[in-house]
Amino acid sequence: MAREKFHTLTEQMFYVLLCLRQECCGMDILDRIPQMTAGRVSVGSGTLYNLLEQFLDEGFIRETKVEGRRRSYLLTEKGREVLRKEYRRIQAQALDYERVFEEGAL
Amino acid sequence: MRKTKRRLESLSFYDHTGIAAHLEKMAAKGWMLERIANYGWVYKKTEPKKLHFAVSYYPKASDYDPEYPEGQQTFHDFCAHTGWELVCTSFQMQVFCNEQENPVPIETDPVLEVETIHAAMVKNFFWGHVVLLVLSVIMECFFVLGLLGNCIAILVDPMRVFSGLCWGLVFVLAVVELTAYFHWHKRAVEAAEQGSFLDTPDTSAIQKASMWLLGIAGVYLIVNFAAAGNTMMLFILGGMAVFMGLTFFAADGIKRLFKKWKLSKNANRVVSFVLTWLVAFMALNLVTFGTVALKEKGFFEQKDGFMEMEHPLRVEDLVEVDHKYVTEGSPKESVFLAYRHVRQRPWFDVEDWSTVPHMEYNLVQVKWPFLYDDVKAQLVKDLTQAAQLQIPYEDRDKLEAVDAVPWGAVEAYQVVDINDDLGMSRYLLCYEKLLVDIQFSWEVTPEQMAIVGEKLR
Repeated sequence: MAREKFHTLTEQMFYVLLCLRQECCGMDILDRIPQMTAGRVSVGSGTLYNLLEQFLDEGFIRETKVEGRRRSYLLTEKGREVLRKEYRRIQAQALDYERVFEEGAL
Repeated sequence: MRKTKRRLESLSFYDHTGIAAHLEKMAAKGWMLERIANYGWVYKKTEPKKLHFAVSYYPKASDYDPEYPEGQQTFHDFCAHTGWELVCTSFQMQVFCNEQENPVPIETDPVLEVETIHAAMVKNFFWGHVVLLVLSVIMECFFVLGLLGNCIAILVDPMRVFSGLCWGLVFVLAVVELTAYFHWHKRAVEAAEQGSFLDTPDTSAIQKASMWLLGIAGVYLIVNFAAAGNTMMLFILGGMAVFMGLTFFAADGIKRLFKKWKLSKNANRVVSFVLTWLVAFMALNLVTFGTVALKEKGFFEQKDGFMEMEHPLRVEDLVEVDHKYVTEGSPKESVFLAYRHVRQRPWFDVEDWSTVPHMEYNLVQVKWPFLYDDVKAQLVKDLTQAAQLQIPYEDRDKLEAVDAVPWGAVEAYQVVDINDDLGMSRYLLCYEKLLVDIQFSWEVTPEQMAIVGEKLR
C-alpha cells in the first residue's frame, strides 16, 4: 500500500527541511547536507529540485528572496511542525532500540 | 575522417538506464551526443572519454520553448553545481554527463524518480503510442477485412502486403512499448516504496528486429517492382520516401528555426504544425501530379495493356486461327502469390466476335501451401458470384466437378452458367501449386484440355 505523502519523511526530505531552518538557496543545500552529515547523506540535484517544488506546494517552505535564478527558501511553521513530528518519531525509534538492545526488554 | 554521425537509436523514451549506458559506451569510443532530432541522434567526434551519463526528466519541458524556461534552467543549474553538464534535451528528456569519478546521481529518491518519469510519459509519448495503437488496429482491421473479402487481391499486391506488414509492426511496437512501460512502472512503484531503484527494461531488440524486417520488406518491394519493370511504382516509392524525409526534416527544421527566432511556445507549435502540414501536402501533391504527368507522357513502361508479352497459353496453341489477336496481360507478384491475367480477343476489324475463338484466363500460383485452400475458396466465390449479394442464390452460377484427368489437374470444375448469358465455357483447374480460372468461347476438346494442362503447369 502506498505511503501517504509526507506521513513520514525520507532522510533526504528531513535534511532538506533541516537546512531550511535558516534562509538558504537550493545550491547551498546541495553542499550543506553532505557537510552536515559527514558525507553520509547526499541529495541528488534532480531530487532536490523536485522536493523544493513539492515543499512549496505543501506550504512547508516559502520563498524569501529571488536574485536572478537564485531563489532562497525558509521553513514555515507548517514545515517546522512536520520536521518536529519526524524528529519525535526518530527519537521514539531510538528509544525503542535502546530498550531492546541495551535493556533487553521486548 | 567524419566529424559527426547520425544513428537511429532503438531506445525507449523512458529507458534512462539503457540510454545512459549506451551514451557512456559511445563516449568511450570518441562519439559525444550533440542533439536528438526526428531523423536520428547526432554525435560529434571527440577524444574518447570515460564519462558518466544520466538521463533525467523535466515534465514541464516543451520542445517548442524558445529557450529553457526559468524553472528548467534552475534545474540545469542545480545539476551543474554537482558536476552534471547538460548535453542536450529532447522533449521532457534531459541528458547530462559528468566527468567526476563517483558523482552524486541526479536522482537519489526512487519515488520521485518514478513520479517524474510517469509525468513526462503521460504528457507526451504515452498518448503518441495510444494514437499509433488505435491507428494500427484500424488499419489492420481494414487489411484483415480486405483479406476476408478478397484474399487474392490483397496477397498478390506487394504494396498492400507491405502496408499490412507496416501497420502490423506498428501495432506490435505500440503494444510492446505500452506493456513494457506499465509493467516496469508497476514494479518500479513497488520497489520505490521499499527505497530501491528499478532499471528500465530494454525493448531495443524488438525495435531493431522490426526495423530490420521493415527494411528487408522495403528492399523486397523495390526488387519486386524493378523485376516487373514497374517503373511507375518505383517512382511512387521513391517519391513517398522523399515525401516522408521532407516532412521529418521540415518538422524538425521549422521548429528549430522558430526557436532560434524566439517565437513563443504556443505560436511555434501552431505555426510549425501548419507549415509542416503544408510541406507534406505539397510534397504529396508533387509525387501524385508528377506520377500522372510522367505517365501521360509515356515515361513509364507498361507491361499490361496492348503490349505483347510472353504468355504461357495462347488461342493459337489450341485452334488454327487466321485472325489477328489483341493480347492483354497483367502480371502481379508478391512473396505470397504470383498472379497473371491474360485476355485474348480478336482484333477490332472482326465484325462478329462470337464467330472467332477467344479466351481469357487467370493464373494464381500459390507460393505457400497454407494459403492454397483460402485462395481456392476465393476463386470459387468469384466464379459462383457469392460476393454479389444482390444476385439471389438460385440465380448464381454453380460449380460442377468434372473429370480432371484430361486437364492433367488434381481437381477440375466447370462453371454452370445458370442464365446462359456468358456464351463461354468456364473452368476452375486445380494443380498442385497453381489454380487456373479459364474461359473459352468454344467447347474445348480433350486434346485441347491436355494442351492447356501442359502449357500452364
